[in-house]
Amino acid sequence: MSSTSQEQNLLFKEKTLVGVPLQKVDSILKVTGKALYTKDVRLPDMLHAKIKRCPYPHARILSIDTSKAEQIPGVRAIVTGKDFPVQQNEDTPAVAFSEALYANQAVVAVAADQRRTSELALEMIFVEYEPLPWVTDPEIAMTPGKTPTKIVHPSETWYEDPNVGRHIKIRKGDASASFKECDRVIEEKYTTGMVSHFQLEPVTFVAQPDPDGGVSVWATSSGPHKTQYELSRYLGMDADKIRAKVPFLGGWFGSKEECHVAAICAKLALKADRPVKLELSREETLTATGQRHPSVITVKDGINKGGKIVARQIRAIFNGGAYSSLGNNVVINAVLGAVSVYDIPNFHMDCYRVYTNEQPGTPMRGPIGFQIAWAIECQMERIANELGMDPVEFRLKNVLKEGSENAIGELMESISHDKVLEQVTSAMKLNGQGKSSIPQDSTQENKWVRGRGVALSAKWAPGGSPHQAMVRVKESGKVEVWVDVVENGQGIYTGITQIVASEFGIPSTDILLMPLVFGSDSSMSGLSGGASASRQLVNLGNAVLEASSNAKKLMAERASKKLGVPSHDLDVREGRVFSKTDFRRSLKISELFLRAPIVGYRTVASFTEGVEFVGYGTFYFRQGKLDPETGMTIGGRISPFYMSTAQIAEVSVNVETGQVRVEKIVAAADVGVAINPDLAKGQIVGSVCMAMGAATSEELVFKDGKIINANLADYEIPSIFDVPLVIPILVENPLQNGPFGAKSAGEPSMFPTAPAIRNAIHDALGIWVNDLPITSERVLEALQKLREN
Amino acid sequence: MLNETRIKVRFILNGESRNIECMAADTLFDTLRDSLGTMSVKQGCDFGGCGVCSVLLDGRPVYSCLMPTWKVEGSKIETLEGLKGKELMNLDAIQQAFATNFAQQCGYCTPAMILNAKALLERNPNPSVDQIKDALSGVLCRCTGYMPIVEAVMQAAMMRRKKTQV
Repeated sequence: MSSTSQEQNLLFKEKTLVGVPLQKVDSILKVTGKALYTKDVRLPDMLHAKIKRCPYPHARILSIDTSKAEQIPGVRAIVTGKDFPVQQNEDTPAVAFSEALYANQAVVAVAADQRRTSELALEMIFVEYEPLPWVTDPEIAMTPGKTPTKIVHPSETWYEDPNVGRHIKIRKGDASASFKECDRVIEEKYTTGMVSHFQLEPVTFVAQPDPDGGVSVWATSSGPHKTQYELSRYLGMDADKIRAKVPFLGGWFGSKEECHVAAICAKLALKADRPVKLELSREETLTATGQRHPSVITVKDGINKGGKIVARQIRAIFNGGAYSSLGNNVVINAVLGAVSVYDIPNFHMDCYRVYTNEQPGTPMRGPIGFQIAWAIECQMERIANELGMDPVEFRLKNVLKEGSENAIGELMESISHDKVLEQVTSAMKLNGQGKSSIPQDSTQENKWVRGRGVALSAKWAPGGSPHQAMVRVKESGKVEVWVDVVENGQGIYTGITQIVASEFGIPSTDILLMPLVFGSDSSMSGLSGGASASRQLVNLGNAVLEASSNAKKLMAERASKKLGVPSHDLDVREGRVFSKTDFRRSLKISELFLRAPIVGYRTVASFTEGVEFVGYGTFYFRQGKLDPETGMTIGGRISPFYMSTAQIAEVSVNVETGQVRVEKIVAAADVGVAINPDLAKGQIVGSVCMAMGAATSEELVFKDGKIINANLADYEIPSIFDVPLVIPILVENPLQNGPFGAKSAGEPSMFPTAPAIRNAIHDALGIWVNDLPITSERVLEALQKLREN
Repeated sequence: MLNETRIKVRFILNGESRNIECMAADTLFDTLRDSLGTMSVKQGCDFGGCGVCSVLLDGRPVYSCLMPTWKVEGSKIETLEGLKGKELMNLDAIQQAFATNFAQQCGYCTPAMILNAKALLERNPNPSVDQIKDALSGVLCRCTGYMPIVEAVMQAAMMRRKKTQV
């Protein structure tokens, strides 16, 4: 490097906001109560909608009589299944057409002037049903001859077993032959229950007919374009006439992808020709919208003398509910979760998503992977224990190394499995497994027994989900950012602001992030896949960087003539266009603008000659496919990268009551480069607390085909008293093609928490619990079994 | 059919006197959002489970979804819209501390958390961590794991104490 360019580097030293704990750009709106959510949208002459739901888990709809309800003053529109084009696909219909396939499925919807009128109208609508046989247990539902009902969707891809909506298999090596040669074979069954996202803002939509015959919809959705395109299918309307808007989201976690509910709202609005608001109650949100798939997972491992796993066979069954929703596609996550951590030469896996008469399963923060991580990390502890090996040492012995290939043929690059384990173990030592035991006398002091447990996982970020961005540079040097980005709390508004500000070398206050002003709007910017699967920061971050760079190129071209410097030698930073080789040759951004009077010559406005300084960018990773027979990737990777994460949990267990108190969790996660370390840590801590709820208390319980605990008294999410002390550790292993090296932080830390807690309970009492949630009853039951043996 | 009997109620909302008409079944939540437009009052459930509809009634936090409107006759109601302070941008110390401590993610529980913190700090300017947890325990947060919220209230208490010493 020449001395002049070194000098320039000093003078134009990178003023960057990457790695800075910048205060959230939406924080002032939120602490003053000015942040508006879909539930807060009010329009003139807005009607209020309510839904009548099926009381049976499976029933034929014989007749619907709306004649009385139609006569009630103030009732403006009623919709039934007949108002929608018959859905020739596996998706949840907006309203049940001839059969309702789960309890609380929508059957009729009403919009009226007042909420009370809508409620009254529901009571005046009479539906005649013929109850039909139903099934909620996926293992029964998929067994030929055993199932009482076949849940048929018109254009389904049918597999060999009944009610199987998706079957994915991986065949690498020969697992069954290897088992015979192994020193030891261990097989265990693990289950997880139906867990709710329990985002605090219930599902809500507002729809308004537009003057061109289209419709605008305000949605609790993770992406306006998702809502736009899904609605287009539901309504049979050109997508270009649908405008979807997402204001602030009151929590997301994968929920709220309920476009079938949005379709009801939009249809009512179009029919009544007035704006309509449809607010689901908490009970409806819990019983009639998607939740985390319950699962039954069997893991069989063959281990050799040295403690190396040589063969693994997994059979994973996911209860998908009555429709696919997004569920059939996310089953691939079972594969990604199972191949992302350990190096096993012989690997067989069968994953099934099975239809039952429950509400459709939907993605939830680390979908499907959460369940797989639970099964695998419980199994790893079991094996280590039976071999008498240290659990960390055992994991390290079997872990995938940098540069190795996983079971579906992807190269593992930029992973930190060893590092995250090392970080958590140096922050909190394990007790040493099998050391603790149940105290003989239960005096006050030793009713509570402590234990520590570890778990290691890795999260993927699948390809696909393109994000587009546009930036416009203003005369003032401020930069407008036009993107569809949904702020569900994770801090993406702030992250994107920091990325663009860093690229232009300007303060965050010079970034005008348009969604912060208007909310996210599908008609405002190019396609965006929205938030999902740990992709938004990476994909959108790269898109805004490309857009910024393209805007800079336009400025460089314009400045080139004025400065007499070739445009490729020019860069834009800190409000100036300058020569990279001679920094003295530079212009202020404002010097690239012209001025002309407007408003009767009183006011002077700025503009550019020719095109504005607007740059566009698009980013996504192309995605390959799995070979249907072997499960090996064809035509590229499924996940462009993986994120390692490990945790150690310390728990106290009450030997008399079975109560589990999670005291402390150390959580390390590889975030690539933390664009904003405090936001990244917030994601880790939030994930751990949410996963802790799923580990110890949360489950939606079915009785007679219906959920019986759809309220906050009987479905307990962690309160301020329940959460442990969480110590987040950021591990930074930059992703080469991530924006400034960033990966993601929103989901990975969901994975290790539940198994780490379970393994800690074993450490404390010597009991194994294989079912989630680990309730007091399950702990006592396991203790009882242990005492009997 | 619908009972349309109207009841006249007077109360003070964020320092302003209000005369409104409500129906017997109206909750304070309905009135504040539907009639008076104080949209910072949020809804997470329908019957006192989540606490995000909390408002201050004569300085004490109540769940507005459980409070019949006619019962607040003659009371002082405070919502987040009424909170003003001497910090930057007219923020109260609690608001400032919530903003700088990353004490909100989605922000949906934030109005209720701030109001509950305010009620606490008015009666106890120097609370312990356990006292803060007690005071905020009626409100659920699904995003943060609560720790940054407790830290923000600790910091706000300190800021407020410093202000009063000067």
